[in-house]
Amino acid sequence: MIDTLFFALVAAVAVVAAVAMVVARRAVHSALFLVVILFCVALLYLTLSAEFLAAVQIIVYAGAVMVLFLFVITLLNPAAEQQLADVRSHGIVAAVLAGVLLIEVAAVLRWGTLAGQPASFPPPAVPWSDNVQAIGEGLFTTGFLLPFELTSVLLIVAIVGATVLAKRRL
Amino acid sequence: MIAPLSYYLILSAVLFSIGVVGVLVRRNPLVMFMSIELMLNAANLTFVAFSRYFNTIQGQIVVFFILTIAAAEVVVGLAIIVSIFRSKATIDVDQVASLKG
Amino acid sequence: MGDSVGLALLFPFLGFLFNALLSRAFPRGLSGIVASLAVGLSFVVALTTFLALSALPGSQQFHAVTLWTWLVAGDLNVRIGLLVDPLSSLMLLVVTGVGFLIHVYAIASMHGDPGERRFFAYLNLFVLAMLVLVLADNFVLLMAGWNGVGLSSYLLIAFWFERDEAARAGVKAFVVNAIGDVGLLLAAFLIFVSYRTLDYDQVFKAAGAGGAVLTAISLLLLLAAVAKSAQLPLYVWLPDAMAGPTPVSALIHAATMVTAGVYLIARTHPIYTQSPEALGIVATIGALTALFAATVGLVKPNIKRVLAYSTVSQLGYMFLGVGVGAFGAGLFHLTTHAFFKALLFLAAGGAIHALGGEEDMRKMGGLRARLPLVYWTFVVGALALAGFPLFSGFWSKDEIITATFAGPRANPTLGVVALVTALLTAFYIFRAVFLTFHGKPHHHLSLSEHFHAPGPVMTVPLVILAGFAVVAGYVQVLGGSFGHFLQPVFNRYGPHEVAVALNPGLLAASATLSVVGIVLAYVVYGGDQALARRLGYQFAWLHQLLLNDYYIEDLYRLVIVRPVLAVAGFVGETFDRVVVDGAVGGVVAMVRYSGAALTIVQTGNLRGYGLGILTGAVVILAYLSYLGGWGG
Repeated sequence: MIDTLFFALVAAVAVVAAVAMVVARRAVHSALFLVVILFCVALLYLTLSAEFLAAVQIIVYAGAVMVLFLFVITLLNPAAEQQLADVRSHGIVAAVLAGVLLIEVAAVLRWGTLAGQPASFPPPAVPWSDNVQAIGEGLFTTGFLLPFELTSVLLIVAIVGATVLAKRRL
Repeated sequence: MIAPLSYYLILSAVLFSIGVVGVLVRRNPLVMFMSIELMLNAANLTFVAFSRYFNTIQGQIVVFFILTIAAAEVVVGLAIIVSIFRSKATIDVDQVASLKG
Repeated sequence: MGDSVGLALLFPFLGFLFNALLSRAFPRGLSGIVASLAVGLSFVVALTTFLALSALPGSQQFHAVTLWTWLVAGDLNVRIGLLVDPLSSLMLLVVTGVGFLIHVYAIASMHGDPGERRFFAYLNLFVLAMLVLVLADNFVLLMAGWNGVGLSSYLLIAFWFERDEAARAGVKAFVVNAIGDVGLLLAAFLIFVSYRTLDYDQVFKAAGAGGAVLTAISLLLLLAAVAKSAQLPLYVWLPDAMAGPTPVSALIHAATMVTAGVYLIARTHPIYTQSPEALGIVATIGALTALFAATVGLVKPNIKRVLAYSTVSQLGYMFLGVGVGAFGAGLFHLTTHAFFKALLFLAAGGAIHALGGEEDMRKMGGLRARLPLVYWTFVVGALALAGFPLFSGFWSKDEIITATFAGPRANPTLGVVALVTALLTAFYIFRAVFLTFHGKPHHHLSLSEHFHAPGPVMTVPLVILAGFAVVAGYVQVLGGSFGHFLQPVFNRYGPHEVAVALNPGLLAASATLSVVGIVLAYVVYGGDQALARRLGYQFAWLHQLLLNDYYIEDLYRLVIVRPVLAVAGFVGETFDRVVVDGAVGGVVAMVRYSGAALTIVQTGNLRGYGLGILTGAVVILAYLSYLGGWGG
């Protein structure tokens, strides 16, 4: 029961922050609301026994990505603070489509294959403390080794690409 | 006792929808990017929830990769925004339509 | 022993590579020397192979050398495999030996031609292809050599491609040969379908069981042989092929290419002997071709054309020989013919060369005094061709005639045809002798200082070939060692070859006919040719008939060439312009208009794209949940 209450609290904060992020007039406010959402998601990871991902979420997103966002916002300060009116017509279509999407998800949950399954989570297969080890084994022994190595290439390419783009003259 | 799976999925869908609306409504590319991050996080949450539900580690590994891609995407995307701003002196995406056929 | 035979292929290949790729960096004269050297080395290999083989007992004279595996697909396993046996080593010897002398001769006769390097590259390629053909131990490799010979003969016939006549002759040879290639291809398909293999040895062993399919295979192979060996009705390319340089005529049309058909039949004799009908057709075609070509040769004014028809006629003899089951006799004639026909071509080339390219015998005359050596060697070749007693052609031709009368598949009717042809042969070749070398000089160059007397590079091959044209027959006559040497090949898959002793009566008859023919030629053409002219007027219709090859060419032109050209013209102009160009233009227009229509969608508006993606995602999700049993 306490878990459900905790979930409800975290979820409420996340949804409110998300709405606030979208409607905030200033980009820097949006960024701060996003940080709140990321923390909430990290907490939810913890409730799902994914403490390694929770840590990564904080370090990578809140630590690295958000710093980058804030950095760019300060770099482009006058432009980033431009008061750009929202596009209402698109907003209506988008809201309708998003509503349809929600209905679809709800329908799947209600009548799809998941409907017949037990609603609650089974007891965890690996104990709390072994999550990191499980991820490591999964990553390096069950066929994810090549993709894992490829991500390093991807990151290098991203770094080089960003440098090329941002630099005026090489 | 953890909250039921469907709670997590519905929360994920809600966050995703908010992200979608954000991408489509805002004209500030920075906020559009943040909304995309929100959508990615919503998807991640689904992965982790199913990973726990089926007691397999693969879902978490996929999230791990998505994190990497998101980081790369942000880096490149922000660099593009910076260079667009340099050449056009604005970051309004509706002003940037040079790919019009 | 057998392994070194691959070298016989390697040398001409290297010669070809050198002449085709490298020779520009060297003086022009070098290409001919390199080409000759390459074939000469091949000849040395051939000779050592031949000697080593003949020292072995008959049952051990078969050596298969697999250089490498070419391709494997299901049952099909094609090896680059060479078969060294008496038959192939004999062909090897003839091809490289005569080929070498012709190469040497060509150094002089092609000297100064702007395409000299190209010429020797083609010549080496030709020898290489012919050797592949002869040495192959399966039908696929045979076909490779077969088509290589066809290709290089096309290149060589059309060597002076700036001359319209030569270019046409090349195309004609190629097209007619392609008809034969289809026959060979179909035969190979049929063999593979029937026996699941294309290796000679396995096919021939399987063929021993007999069966109706063997007749079909033999007839398809016969089609190939007929086209390659210029037999009726596909002989038409050979006379035109005289448009090529004289050494080419000597090489292609005497020693090598045209003999491929005879070789093919001899090689596949285990198939043919299972089908008496096919063998009968071979013999009939041979005899008819021999007679037909000899009659046409009586009237042709061009010396090289006379020799070309005589080649067709002699190949007819070879077909007759193998057709009556005397495979050894056919190959014996093939060998002697290679010598004396190469000799005749090269000697005629000497006369043509001396007169600055004149090929019309009516304009020659009286060359005996200026070209004594050429004259005497030509006469030796003519005597051998005419079957004059004790010359090589006498022995080999008589073996065929004897087999036709007295062999296991004797056919006296065809024997009479062969005898008549022998008479005609003596007549037409001595007509050429008298017209070219006797009488009064007609050509303005005959007495001038521009007269090109051939040098030793040209005359030495002539003398060597003349020697062989005289003595080659005795290899067989003294102890019959020629037939004896080939015996193992033809008896390997059963006793197919039956030796026939020479019949003194037939020998005397053919000797008499030959002498009569020569005397008649002297009577008609030896003097002032008044008689020849009178006969020409008196039998004008016959003269015209023969001069026009019994109008076979015109028939082909009317029935085949014209309709094909008409269809080609329609396809090339109307069909191509309307349908093909129309289709291409239609595709272009479609792409252009649909592209223009679709640019409307491409707004460059990021948000619009995002909306599109979202719509798609919603629809796809709906579809997937429907598939996943939405509501179910």
